[in-house]
Amino acid sequence: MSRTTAGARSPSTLWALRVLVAAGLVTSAVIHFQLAPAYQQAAPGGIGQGTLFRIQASVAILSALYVLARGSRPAFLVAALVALSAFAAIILYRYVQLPAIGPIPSMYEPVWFTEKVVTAVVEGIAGVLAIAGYILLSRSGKAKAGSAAPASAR
Amino acid sequence: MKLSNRVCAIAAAVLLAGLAGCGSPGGETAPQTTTPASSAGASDASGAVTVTISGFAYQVPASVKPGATVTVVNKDSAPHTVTAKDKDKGGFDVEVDGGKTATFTAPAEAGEYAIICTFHPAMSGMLVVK
Repeated sequence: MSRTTAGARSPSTLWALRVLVAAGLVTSAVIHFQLAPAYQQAAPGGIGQGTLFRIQASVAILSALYVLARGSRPAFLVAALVALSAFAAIILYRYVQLPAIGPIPSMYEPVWFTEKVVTAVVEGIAGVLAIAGYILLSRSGKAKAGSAAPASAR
Repeated sequence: MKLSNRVCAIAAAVLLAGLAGCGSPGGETAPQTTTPASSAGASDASGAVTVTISGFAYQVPASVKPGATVTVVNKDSAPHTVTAKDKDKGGFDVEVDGGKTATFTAPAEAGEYAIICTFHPAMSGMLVVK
């Protein structure tokens, strides 16, 4: 595939990635906001699990807006970090009985249910797509630098 | 369709399915079964007893008869259990998926039985059998 073809495809692919990553983060945020009141009762220690859910949801929405508005490498990087850290937390607390750590309560819950599965799946997909967006931008940046080099050398 | 577009299309479908799944409130989903409790933590004239779980809390009737069939209604979206804390005393352990109901048999011996949710250790209650 020529660089010209790749360059022509990137804008639409990048826009699709931005929208999909943002959709995944917003989905995760909505579910976390919905579950927060009940989960505050489930793990009230420290700052409480519900409060943590609200913080995660707020950060997810901000990063979704960031990646939609800018679509830059830092935006994709932040989105990947937010999505994958949330994904890791779900997996970790599903399988590992961690004690309370400072203000973070013990949130071990050895069971899957619909909302939890949906959250994990969309966060995982959003994280992977955000990394893809970051890599795509990095490659197109290198390609531009590569094509500009001979011109500047003249 | 190019590979990247195909990947995006599949991811879009999954994410849209996820968004569609967000339609119902997560914390306290309405029961999907056809046997809701007449009231939270109730015991009616026939001796049928209901324990309701809502907002990660048990609503238990004041007392139940020995050997009574206890219906557990889970109004949360998360699954819970009604488990005798002391495994040697009571011996009941029932799991209830979110929005579903389940039943168990109350202990034959009168007494006070501490109950917990094995999924959510902060949840606890007391089942009085007399």
